[in-house]
Amino acid sequence: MRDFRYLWLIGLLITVGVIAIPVGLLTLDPPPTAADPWDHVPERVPATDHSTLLEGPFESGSDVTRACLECHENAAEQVSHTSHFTWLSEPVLLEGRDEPVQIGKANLINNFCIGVQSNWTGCTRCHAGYGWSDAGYDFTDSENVDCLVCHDQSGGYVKGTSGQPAEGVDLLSAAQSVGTPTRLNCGGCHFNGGGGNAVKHGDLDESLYYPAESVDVHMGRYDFLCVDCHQTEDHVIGGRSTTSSASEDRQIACTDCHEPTLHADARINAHTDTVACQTCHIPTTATRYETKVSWDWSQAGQDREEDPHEYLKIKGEFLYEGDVVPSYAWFNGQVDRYLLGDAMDPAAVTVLNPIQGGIDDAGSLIYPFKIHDAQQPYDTVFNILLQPNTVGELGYWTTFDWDSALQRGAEAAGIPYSGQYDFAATRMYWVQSHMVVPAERALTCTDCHGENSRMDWRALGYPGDPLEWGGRDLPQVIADDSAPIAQAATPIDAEGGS
Amino acid sequence: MSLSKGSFAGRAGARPYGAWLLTLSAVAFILAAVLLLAPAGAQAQESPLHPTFPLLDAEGGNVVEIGAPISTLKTCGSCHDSAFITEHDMHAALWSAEAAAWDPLTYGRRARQGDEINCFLCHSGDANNAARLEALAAGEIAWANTATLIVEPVAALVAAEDGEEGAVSPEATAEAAAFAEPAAAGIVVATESGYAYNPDAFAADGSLKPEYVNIQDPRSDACGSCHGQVHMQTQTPLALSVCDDSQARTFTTGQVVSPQRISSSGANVADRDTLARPWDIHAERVLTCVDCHYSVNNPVYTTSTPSGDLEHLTFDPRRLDFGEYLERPSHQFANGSDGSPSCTNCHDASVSHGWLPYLERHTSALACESCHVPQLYAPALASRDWTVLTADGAPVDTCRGIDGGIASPPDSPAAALITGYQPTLLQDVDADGSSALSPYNLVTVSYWVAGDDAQPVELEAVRAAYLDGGAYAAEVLALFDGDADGALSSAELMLDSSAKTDLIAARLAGQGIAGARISAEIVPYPIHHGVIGGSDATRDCQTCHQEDSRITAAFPLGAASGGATPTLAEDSGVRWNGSVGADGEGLLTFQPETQTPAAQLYIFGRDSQQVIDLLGVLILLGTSLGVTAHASLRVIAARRAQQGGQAHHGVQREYLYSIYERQWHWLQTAVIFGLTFTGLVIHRPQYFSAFSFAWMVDLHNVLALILVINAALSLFYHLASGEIKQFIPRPYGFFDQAIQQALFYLRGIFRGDPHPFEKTRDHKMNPLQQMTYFGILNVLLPLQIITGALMWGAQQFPALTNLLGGLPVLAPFHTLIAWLFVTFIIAHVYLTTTGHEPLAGIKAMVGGYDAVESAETGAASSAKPSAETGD
Repeated sequence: MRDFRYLWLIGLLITVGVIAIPVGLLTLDPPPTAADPWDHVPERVPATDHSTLLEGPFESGSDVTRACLECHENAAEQVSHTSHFTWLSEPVLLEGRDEPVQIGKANLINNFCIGVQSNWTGCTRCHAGYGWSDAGYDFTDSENVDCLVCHDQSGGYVKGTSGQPAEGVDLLSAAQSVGTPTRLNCGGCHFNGGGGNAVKHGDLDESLYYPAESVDVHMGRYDFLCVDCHQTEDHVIGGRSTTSSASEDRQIACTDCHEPTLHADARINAHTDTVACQTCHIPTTATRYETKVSWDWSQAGQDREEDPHEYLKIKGEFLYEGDVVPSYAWFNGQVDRYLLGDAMDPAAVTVLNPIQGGIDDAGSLIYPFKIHDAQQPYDTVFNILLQPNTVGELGYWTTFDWDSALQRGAEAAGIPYSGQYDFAATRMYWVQSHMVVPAERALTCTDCHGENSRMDWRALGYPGDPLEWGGRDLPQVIADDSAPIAQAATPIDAEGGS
Repeated sequence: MSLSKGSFAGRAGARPYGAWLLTLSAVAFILAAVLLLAPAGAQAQESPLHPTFPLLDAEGGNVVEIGAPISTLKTCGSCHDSAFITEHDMHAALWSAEAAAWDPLTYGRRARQGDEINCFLCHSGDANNAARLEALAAGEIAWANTATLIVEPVAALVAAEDGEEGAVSPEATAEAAAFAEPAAAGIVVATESGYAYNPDAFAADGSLKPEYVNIQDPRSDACGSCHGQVHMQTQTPLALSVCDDSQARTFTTGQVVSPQRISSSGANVADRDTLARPWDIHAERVLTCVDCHYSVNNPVYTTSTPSGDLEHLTFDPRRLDFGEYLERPSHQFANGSDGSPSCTNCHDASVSHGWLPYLERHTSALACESCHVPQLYAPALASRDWTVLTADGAPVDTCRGIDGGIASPPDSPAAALITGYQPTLLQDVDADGSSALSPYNLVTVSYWVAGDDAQPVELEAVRAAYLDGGAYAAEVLALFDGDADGALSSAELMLDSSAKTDLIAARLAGQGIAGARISAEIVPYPIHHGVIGGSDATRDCQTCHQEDSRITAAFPLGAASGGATPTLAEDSGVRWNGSVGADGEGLLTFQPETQTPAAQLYIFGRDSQQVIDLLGVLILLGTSLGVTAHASLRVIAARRAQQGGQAHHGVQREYLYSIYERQWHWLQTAVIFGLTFTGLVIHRPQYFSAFSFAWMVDLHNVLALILVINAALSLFYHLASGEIKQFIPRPYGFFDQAIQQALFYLRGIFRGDPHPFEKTRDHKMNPLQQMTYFGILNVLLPLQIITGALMWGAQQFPALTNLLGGLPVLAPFHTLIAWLFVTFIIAHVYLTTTGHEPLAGIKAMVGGYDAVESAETGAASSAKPSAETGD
């Protein structure tokens, strides 16, 4: 009886094997199941109802913070080390510099409102803290941390001068409403960068509060929050900007969730080692609100007719554009910085955040950028960009006196000022990563190839349209003298270099 | 992109420089608008390579000096061999007398109009086909080519744009127009007295200035100006041509060539938002018309060896160089209507269709377009009726693909809801005589014929029958105008009564055309454009492989005049695999069939022989009933026996089945079950939609392979071991023994009689089994294997398969044997229970040992006395 049992089992196994093995080997492969991007999306933690936990009364923002810290003991400590609070990075060694530098909004300049130093009371409305009004701010005081700006869900929390709660804000209801930061929390500052809705980024504006899917597929179709991609641990929020933060540690990429070769079409997949996802999936930005593309500070101070989108006496002349076709450039993720005190050439365009990469750099992909050009003050003797004091009773926005504003700003920023100033051209590159449209609205072949192309292939370093001339991996035997290999940070205007 | 903020006008008066600023910005706006909105072809653009040249007349004189029309033969012929080109040009050949066949669509024969071959029409970047047609219509044949060089003044466009914008002042427009005109004016300008040359276009030596030389490879838009709707711009949304007979291929088939997504084009297509596919994948992939339809001696595209192929040569560099080609480009275009396989010139289906079983079979039976143009998203002509005429003397059309059906052309084409249509699949005959199913639109065309040879009545005569001095004749109007509104609507323009038909026939007879009658035919129009990529193409097997197969879907036809049943046009490049019929509502349809002499198709999952399935079911049911009855009687008999206390026969264990025999048996069992099930799914997929049809097909093939190998090994075993003897009936006494066994099953088994033959290691089969197995193993199994292999061979060795009748014969035969197999299995399994106890037989086949009736119970027989698990 023993061998009977074993034998039939073995026979069964042989039968199964003889059928299963050829079937497995010879029948067609089922279509591969793509990795599910949802695996990477964090589960939302249901908010705890704080309405019974917090009774108040709260006289100041710091009162609320103290109440928060009674339970969330480490929260302020965590926040106080993040760039949302310090506005500075960890020390990083930038290429071409001898020593590591700590950089961030606190000490960099841009070509919008230029710089924070001496303008703290105005700029720190968007600081995740309370009371930063001068250089002597205490970053170690945990009560200075502003919990509500990110966690308020009442919708009634507004910050004013020096980041203090604006007058009339109901701190108790704000505190009782706290929950996971929503698009409204992040957008309050990030959609209004540069002094107003849609001014700065191009790909971030108030249309993202409640976007249609044609504006942003993640938020519009799937109801994403900012923090679903900008995942946060111990209050350290994922992501980096190419205009202020220097560290790449927290870089977020589309490929964190999506396979780069997920397209059903082999031809499209063949693009992903050359072209960033954003390039096709963000055909235009500023789709609902026009964004600022140029700012001429030299025209400020005139008594002209004002229009927030064309001219303001305090700020100068602007150009806005909507539905912007981005500019395209090779980019490897590295960005250099203009640091205060760096020499510049007033005859050339000074790039404040020179993006790195090129056609010969295998790590570079073609990315979309919004370019922001400006005329901003510089010292004609020292040939350095200056940082005016604009905010406050003695600032330019009140006095309209450039000389004193530049003097005060230079003192605060610790740079020399000769008393001689003029205005020089500067440029900033804003990589476009938001406002991702659904695949069915992404660019198609003819947008970049053929006679209606939006790409200036020669300027990107190709001998011609790579569809006909071959991609960058091929040996480029045909040298074209008239087309210099793209230098780092020479992006190409979408309209053909004009 | 809007440069104008629209607020300039409001502020214009406020500042001294307002007016100036206004003008400047208006100019800027207009220029921007022109740049953005004008079709790219309207911009004069310098040719990068083509040298400047003088325009010559037929005598070789410079037209600027003489004022004569341009001769393309002379002008272009000064460098290019225009005689050679004319002789070889496919387009020129279309107009030659030999090619002129009666075309019911245009109601005529193409006649060469006497104009020279028009190089400009295709090769000038801003050719003006409308001006050319105007010249031809006006009878200015000699000027037609010259007229092609007129560039529509941009000012007209600007004015049109402003009208909508409204914020720009008239002065600004004038200024803009003045600014824009010199750049936009062509070489030729139309004047009141005819045509004149623009002196600005010519240099002092009489040749064109470089900026006016805009000679280039034909742009797709140029091809489209005659062939149908081609919209290569990506910025301006495509406005769909709806039943517009100037858009040839779009009109007849609904083919549209554009890189735009349907969802982002300007067409009012149903469910447009879900159609992210482009109108044509090749246009989207940046191909132009001439990339596929290149001149066949263009050395860029020519891959074949010009001087003949030698086996040892893979490439022959001795070929036309560019200079020679440019002198004598053949203008025979590749991949044209000669039926040559065009997709496969670039595409290798075997690489991209790994998911598709029987790829070669599919690609030989189906043109690529069958799956890659599953649906047309523009309307197409359904019927054209020349037996009635509109007041303009034009035929009455209906179109398919509007509002879900066939309808009259909409009054407002832009507002019509376009639903498109699914083309029908006809056997397209290739140059080599082979044919494959390919998508077509079918157009019903009706016209008057007369005479014994049924020649079409001249159109002028038909016009005269209806019209009298540009309006309907009184008696026609009286009879046709149902609502008496003095005009004939499309509903009234119909020969729907014999009175109407008779009246027109009589009016034709009045012109001397006796015996006029209506002829109606169905004309197929092939579809090759509007191709979509793999992810949007037909992929679901059950689109075709099921009862409601797309291949045999009835295709609605436009009605023929007078309710006639139209005939299928002959010599139309197709083999008609179907017939004209009527659907439930009496509307005309074309009903494709599969097993016609032309088609010879057998589509698994759709086609079956009802007789065979019926027969199979009857045999199966009959056997099942027999088995059930037999089993019931046995149960009753067994109960009686128990009551009667009848003794069991003595039993003893005996090793009956070797390990290999058991293994062989159960493997075959599993495989046959698998084959039966997968075969059933393939036969009737609509009842098993949970299973992937493609995988079932694959599985069936692999299981069949295992079955064949297993059967072959087993045959070897039985031959080598001599076991085969057991399966072979012994002639001596065979019938007696068979009858004895049969009587046992019919009588003895119920009485508890011992089995007539002893079952031993060397003698397991009783005579009936020997007979059955002989039939199964030597007839059914080989036949099933052979028919199956031949069906598989429809792709591997189609010649042999076709020799034996092809799939239409083999497949039903295979099905019949499958029914018999199933029947056998039921009987076989039942008979295993007829041993000394019901499960003994099965246990024996598992364990090898059976308890067989022992000899002492003693039914002596000529064979060894004994027992049996019959099966």
